[in-house]
Amino acid sequence: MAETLSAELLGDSALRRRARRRAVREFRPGRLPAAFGTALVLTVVGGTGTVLVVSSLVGHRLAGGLVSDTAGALRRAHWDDGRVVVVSALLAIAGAVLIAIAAFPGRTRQEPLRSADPLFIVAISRAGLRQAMVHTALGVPGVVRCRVRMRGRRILVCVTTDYRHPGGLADSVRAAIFRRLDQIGPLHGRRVVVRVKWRHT
Amino acid sequence: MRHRVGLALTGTALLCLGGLGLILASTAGGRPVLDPWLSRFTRNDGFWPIVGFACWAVMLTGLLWLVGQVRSALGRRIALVDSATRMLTRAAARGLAGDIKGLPGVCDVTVRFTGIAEDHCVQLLVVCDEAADLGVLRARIEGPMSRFRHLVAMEGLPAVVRFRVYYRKQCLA
Repeated sequence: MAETLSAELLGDSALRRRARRRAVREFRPGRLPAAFGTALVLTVVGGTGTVLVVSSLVGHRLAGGLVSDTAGALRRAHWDDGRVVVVSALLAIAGAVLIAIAAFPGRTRQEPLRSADPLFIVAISRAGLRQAMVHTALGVPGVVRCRVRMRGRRILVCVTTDYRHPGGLADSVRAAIFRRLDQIGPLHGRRVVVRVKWRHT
Repeated sequence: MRHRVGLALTGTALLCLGGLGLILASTAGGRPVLDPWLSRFTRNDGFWPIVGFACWAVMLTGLLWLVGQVRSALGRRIALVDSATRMLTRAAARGLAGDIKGLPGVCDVTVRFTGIAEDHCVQLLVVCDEAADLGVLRARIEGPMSRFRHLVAMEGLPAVVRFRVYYRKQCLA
């Protein structure tokens, strides 16, 4: 009995883990513009190089001249020439930028939600989630204005109240937002920071 | 993930080339870029075919990457299936949309069956009311979704659900 229960529990958590991984992978920014641009540049540069070299090998006049001119220019140029240094620096910068784009996770427009089934991947738009929290905060008595910002694993809620002594307003807003977040069920847990401002009406 | 690997590899290659150029600029500043030894090598018969092959390999890598991107982008938008499966999935998608529209708090549903070469998926865009409980809604969608899988005879078909919450009154400060 106990073995069956533990197997069921372990199986369930493995399913949840798989569902979590799949949801994160599905909504992770694909870096498509950068990948498309890089693939296009590689194709164009490689294609041009192939055409020039092959045409010079078969004795085409224009391309042959271009290749021999480039080789001559490289023979005359020195490593500390300004143009060589600039080209090297540009290549290094482009490489560093591509590595940074690949390494940093980026910001997704969809917020994955919890699911127990790896075949059922659910998400809500970040704007929708933010709007839900604004709506929830505005539902708390005493809140007249609200602004929500999501920064990494932190949700910053700035509420404005016309209460001269807001007391536990920040705690009430935080509790309401936690209830709403629990209802929506985002995959990544976040810390909620509430700031209260007073406005005279 | 594949794009990130490709970007990282290309970036590393460019960084190594640029870094090597900068290192040589600081250490071997007075020497020509095409060293006399390398110049002699370029006069060899085998040099330019090797350069040509390297350029061809770069072009092929870029082209395969582009084709892969176009293929995955198409796979997210259209379904490449035979006509019988298409008719079946269309009918099942209409049924699924009807089932989900009947759930409390759902304003509108768009169902799209996508994917190519046995890598299919159902994309659902669910527009729901501000008062809808997304947790309950999520659990209730799973029933019609498993019926859809059963109807199209694809028990392992993944579903991607995107919720969009509709607010009657815009209240963003």
